Parts: sequence; C-alpha cells; structure tokens
Amino acid sequence: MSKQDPWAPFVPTPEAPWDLDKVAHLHRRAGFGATRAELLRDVKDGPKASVDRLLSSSAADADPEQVVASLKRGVLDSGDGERLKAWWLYQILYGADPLREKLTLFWHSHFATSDRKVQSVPLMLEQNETLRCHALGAFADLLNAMIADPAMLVWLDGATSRKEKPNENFGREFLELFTLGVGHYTEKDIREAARAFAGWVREGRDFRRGDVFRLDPAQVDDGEKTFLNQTGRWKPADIVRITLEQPACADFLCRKLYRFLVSEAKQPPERIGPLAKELRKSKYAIRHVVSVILRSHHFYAKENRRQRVAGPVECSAGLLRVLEMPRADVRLLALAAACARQGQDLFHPPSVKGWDGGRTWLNSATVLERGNWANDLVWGNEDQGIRSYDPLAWAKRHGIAPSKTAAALLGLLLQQDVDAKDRDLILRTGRDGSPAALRKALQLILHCPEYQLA
Amino acid sequence: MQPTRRDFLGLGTSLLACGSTVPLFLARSGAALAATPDTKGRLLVVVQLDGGNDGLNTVVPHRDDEYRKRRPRLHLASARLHKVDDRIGLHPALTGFARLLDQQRLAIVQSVGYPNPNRSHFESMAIWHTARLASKADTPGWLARYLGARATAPGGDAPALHVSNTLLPQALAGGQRQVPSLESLEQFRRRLGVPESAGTKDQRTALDTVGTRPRGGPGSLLEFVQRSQVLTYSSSARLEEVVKSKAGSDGYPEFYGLARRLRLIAQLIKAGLTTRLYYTQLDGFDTHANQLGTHDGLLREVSDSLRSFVDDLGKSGDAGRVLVLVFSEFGRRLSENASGGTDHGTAAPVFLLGPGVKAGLHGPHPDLRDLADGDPKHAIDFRRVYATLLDDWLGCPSEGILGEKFTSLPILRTGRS
Repeated sequence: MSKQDPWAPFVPTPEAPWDLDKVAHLHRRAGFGATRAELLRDVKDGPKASVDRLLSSSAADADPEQVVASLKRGVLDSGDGERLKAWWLYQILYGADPLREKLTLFWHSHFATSDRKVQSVPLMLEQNETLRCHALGAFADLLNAMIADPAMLVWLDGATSRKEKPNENFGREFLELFTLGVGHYTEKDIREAARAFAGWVREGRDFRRGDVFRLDPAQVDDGEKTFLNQTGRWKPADIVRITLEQPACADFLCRKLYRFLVSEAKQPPERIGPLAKELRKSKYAIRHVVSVILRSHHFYAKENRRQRVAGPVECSAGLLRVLEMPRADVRLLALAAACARQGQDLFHPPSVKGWDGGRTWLNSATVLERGNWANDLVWGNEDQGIRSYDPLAWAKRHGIAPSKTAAALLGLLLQQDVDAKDRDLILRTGRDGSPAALRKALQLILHCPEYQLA
Repeated sequence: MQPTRRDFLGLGTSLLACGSTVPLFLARSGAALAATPDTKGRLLVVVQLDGGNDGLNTVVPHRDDEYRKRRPRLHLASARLHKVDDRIGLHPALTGFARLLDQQRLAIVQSVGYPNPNRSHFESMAIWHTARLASKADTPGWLARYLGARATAPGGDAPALHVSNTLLPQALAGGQRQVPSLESLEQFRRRLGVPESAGTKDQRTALDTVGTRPRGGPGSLLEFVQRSQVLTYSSSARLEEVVKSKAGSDGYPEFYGLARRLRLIAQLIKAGLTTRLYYTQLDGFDTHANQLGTHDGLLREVSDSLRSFVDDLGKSGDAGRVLVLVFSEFGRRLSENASGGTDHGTAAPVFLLGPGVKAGLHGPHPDLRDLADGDPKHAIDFRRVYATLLDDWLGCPSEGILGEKFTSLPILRTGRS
C-alpha cells in the first residue's frame, strides 16, 4: 500500500507511539470503553494483538453463569419491553465480545425497527439476536436475514405484501436506507424489488414467540423482473446479489461505518473509495473492513480522536464498564431509562432512518440527563437504588495509592485530552485522597466537555 | 444604542437578578453567545383531551329542540349555561372559559372534523396526530413534520417538550427531532448530588468552570459540546430561579393534574427556554356511562387550569406569544345511550386560547337535523385549524407539512381576516 493510503496499517514510531491515548480510543470506538487493566494490557501487547483480540472474541463462551439466558427467559415470560432493554444492556456491560455488541448497536440504527409499531417483545428480541449473529459476518447474509425477519416484516409491512399488490415500503427502504442510498435506483427498481420480496403471510401468534410468518408459495411472484438493469425471475436472494454488485452499495455502507467508527466529519471520496474497494474485494465481509479500519494509521490519527459525540448508550453504559461499577450496584432498568431520556430509547429508534447521532444528540434536556446520570453514579441516588461510587476500592484493586488516584482516574477517562487548567483543578481537588475528594475529582472529570466525545 | 448584556440574554431580570446563585461566568458566557436564538418567539401549547370529549355538552346548542329531545337525561338547562350567543352556551363548569371569552382570549371553532369519520379512539386520534386520513403507526406526526421543517441548530433547548407521564403522542413522533417527555421539574434540574459536608458551593463553582470553559477551535465538535453545556446550565439555572421566585405559580388549582402540568409549562416558558412547542394531555373523556358528574369535573379541570395558565402568562408578560390549542379525537353521539352516557361520535369544537385569537364563536353551529349516521356532519376540516396555526401563528408554510393546501381560518388576530 502506498504511503498516502489512509488505510495502511498503523506502525508505532517514536513520534507516534502505541500509547494509552490510542488504546483508549480503540476501545471507545470498537466497544464501550475498557477498564484500566485492559488498557494497560493492550498498551503492553501492541496494536496487532489488541485488535486481534477484539476481532476474535467470542460471546459464546462468555456467560458461564448463564445470566444472559436467564434474563432472556425473563423477558420472554413477561413480555416486558423494559426487561428487553436490560437484557441487551447486560450484554453490552459484561459481554466478552464488545465489538460485536457495538456493531449490533450500529445495525440496530441501520435496520432501525421500532417496537412502537411492531408491538412484540419476542420479535424485537429475535431481531436483535439476528443482528448480533451477523454483525461481523457477510452483509449478504445480514440482508437476507432482514428480508425474512419477523419484526421487519411487521415494521415495513412485508407481511401484508401480496403478489397482486406488492407493498413497496420494505423495497424502498431496502434501497434507500439499507443498501444504496438515494440517487442510485429508480422507482421501477423499487417496484420490482417489492415484487420479489412479496409472499410472507402471518400464520399465527404465540405468546412467547410472537407472530409467526411463513412464505406462501401462492403469494410469491416468480415472474420475470427487471431490477437495476438485470432481467430474470429474481428471488429475494437475487435482489440482494444484484444490489451488492453496485459500487454505490459498498460506498454507502463504508460511509456509514466510517462515521460510526472513525469520525463524524465530512469525508472526501478518496478516503472512502479504497475502503469500499476492500469491502467489495472481500465479498462484503464486514469483519474484514472493520479490521482494516481498526488497524489503519488513519484511525489512530490525532485528528480522528474525540471526533464523535458519544451516543447515550455508549456514554452511559460505558461509564459503568470503565469504572468497574460493582455488579450488585448496577441498575439496568435505571440505565435503560437514562439512555431513553438522553434520546436513545433502545428498540425505539425515532424512525426507519435510525438515530441521526452526532450533534443532534445534544440539547439542554439531554445534556442535563447526561450530567445527572454521571452525578448519580458518583454520589449515588437513593430513589433509583444507586449507591455512591467507591473510588478507593477501585484504586486498591489496581494497586494505586489514594494520593495518586485522581491522576489515575483522569488517565482512565480522558487520557491527555484535557485542558491544562482543568487538569490542575481536578488534581488539586482530589489531592487528599479521601473518598469525598476523589468523588469530587471524578465528577469534575465527567463534566469536562471532552468526556462527551468518543 | 448599544445593546446591553441584558438585551443579549433576552432574559429580562431573571438571570442577572440572582447573582449569588448563577455564577457570573454564566452571565458572561450567555453574553458571549450573542447568537443565542430568540427567547421571545411565538410558541404553541397543545392540550389533548383523550377519550372523545362530548362537544355538544361543552359548547351547548341549548335552544335546539332536537338537542333536548335526543338527550332527555343529559341535556343541560339554558339557565345554567354561560351564554355565548342566542343559541349557544358554555357548560356550567366552564366558568374560566367564559371569563377568558369576556377578556377576548378564547376562540371556539365549531363542527371540526374530517370526512368519513372514524369512531375508533386509536384510529381517529392517529388521524388527528398525523393529519392524514389514512395513516400507519410509523407515519410521522404533523408536529414532528413541523419540527423537521423548521431549521433549528442542535445544542440549544429541546425544540419541543411533552409534559406528561404517558407515551409520546404520535403527533410528536416519527420525525428525526426527538422530543423529550418530562413529568416534573425535577427532571429538568441539575442533580449535582454533592453532599453538604463535601462543600456543595465550591464544587458547583468548580463544575461550572470545567464544564463551560471555552475550548476547541471555532466550529469544532469540542466547542459545540462546551456551548451546549453553557446553554444547558443557564437554562437550568433560570428555571431554578423561576421555581424559587414562585412568581405567578400560585393561583393554579393544584389538585388538578392538568393544572400542575400547565404550571410546569408556564415555568419553562417564563424561564426563557427556546422551546417552541409544548404538548400535554388529559384523559377520561370516554364517558359511556353516568356522564353528567364526570364530564362536569373534567371540564372544570380544563377550564380552571387553562384560565390560571393564561392569567399566569399574562402577568409575566408572556401571554402574547403563547397560543393554546385544545382538541379531542372526536365528539360524542347526538343521542344519549341507556347508561346515562354517550358513545363515540364525530365532529366537535376545538378551542384556541390566548390574546392572539379572534375571540368568540367560529364556524357554523352543528346542524342537528342534517345528520350522517346519526351525528352532525363536520363543517370545518381539522387540517384547516392546523394550517392556520402553521401559516399564521408559527410562520411555517403548512402545505409541505400537511401534504396539501388548506385555507387558513380567520380565527387569529395575526392572521388574514
């Protein structure tokens, strides 16, 4: 790869060493932040081992106590949407595969489906598991799964689409929001895709499983269709295949991944182009393109660090994770409600376009909620059953003297990304190493505007 | 003349009068933010009456024999009503509305509805919420579309607030601008959490210092976050002042939930939030049985609460920029049922409140002899009311939002006559 290639791998140099700033950046973007031990381990192990570990983690063997499975049973037995959120947040906080969870959140906003219309906790749960399963797999598999996904069939009316009168809702969003973006297809393409997608009918309803759908051969249109200039008796999988052949598809997806993983700043085509090429070369292997991004020198460049407004779930759940809040003190339902008040109500994206993110996360109501959540964690909130954070227990676990704890917390949460005056004030505040002083220092750290940026 | 700092802030005396609680830096940052959006612009407050309010017993055609005949048990006697004109009177519980009418602050638009009325609560409310005669659960609400059409920079106060503990109404949902719901001011208060023993005051100063110290290059994300924090802290500080001063907040009938929610909205308005749209609800209008007492109580709550609200804003000097819309998903049937109640009907009156209205009755009286499926026909499409609010009050072209052109109604002083 040439020197100008932004996607050439990062190689540490004396001027740009592999350090805490870069490791923390990697974990903010590829996960929900890391603990001090994880950060120090990755600084020591170097970039390759750190990224390898993120890409090869497996969620399968991560739940020896079967907590996730038991939470899931509780969700399905109760049909309670709040417990559904808690089930996911638990995996975000304690799952062994943070990259997969992070991308599941990405896909939740990409294939944005809301329980507001679906009105079925089991179907929303099933979709979430499907997104998680394919999060790092082949994009074609993910698209094929979404075409047949029950929650999606309700959300975009696929389940009412009939051969004689195909419903275009899913076909339109498939092209506009899921694959190509506006300007790369015609209204005729939408109609032809809708014909190919039609045929799902509701078979019945089961309390624990929700609505059950099947493909009714009598409702399937097996006639000839002309889609994106190709003619044949196309089935849904052919629509996916032909769509992925369009260069616009790789470009569209890479732009979204770039905005999610690298920077919200507007990007010139020469940045995205090579990435899109990699994606097509790999037959749309998500893991491959994510790997290229996370290993690149461009990803670690100073100009790309703290260049995203951290989303509510990233920010609020991330704080619990990074501070290693004792599990017994974590209130998942309170966390879900706090995220909702900050504008990210899981399983209820605002529309099929998902969350806009970026600057739109912040207004006076949501900024206030972000601050209040941090304040509740630091000082406790009796009403919500949240106990105040114990900075000395954290320090003791990591072998840090009380007098050095404020500096260690600063390194954990902001690294070097802090104004010198603020750094002085924070260190001065936490100097005596008492729990109250350290809580005050921690609260100051979380009030720095830098903390809101991932 | 050079604008003063006070002018820049557009806050009147509230922020500057409370030097001890609002640190000077906030006033400074406020001044530095001269580009802060206008805090004195027009706003809309929507009050939704859930369940289908009985329009015929709210704005009563008491002289009409047909009214008395169809409602042998439920009709209201002429002598008890607040007279509006020779044929129409307001329900006896609407004392507050009657006074607002005298003060030229109440407009009543009669016979508002839409073609092919739908008598399902859910579906008819969806029609009102989306301003579409055929809508789906994911059709964006008319107010969500309005918020989308109105360009506002992110980072300031929320563009709209839903003041209720219920699910966000579809009117506000489905757009890209998210609308927060809040039930109490507690949710709009900075919970610093610092115990007294740890030095609350010093910590607050320190938090404000790190939270708002200018940083980041012009236009940078970091500067944007810092400015958002400045705005948030100052909105919240102003609000605390308004709450503490209790100005005008007495006089509300506190035992009514609607009164408490409207007082909260008034406090937010008086605090100078740039929020342009407030939405609240009152449930219980589905009066299928023993309606008289229930309906009396509900209308009293609506009328007394809204009168206090309009009076409160009048005292603070904000009334002129506030318009209230009161609507329900449908009226009730002309004929009473056998349980002393009424079933789901069709067209009904809509109310607009505030000094900006052309007070009095608008639209034709319901014609109780020209019925469709047993109920009076609508004379005014509800989307004309929306068009009026959008075009003539909020200054946002309605055609793009409503999907077609609806002529506005001559019901506002500001609008066309």
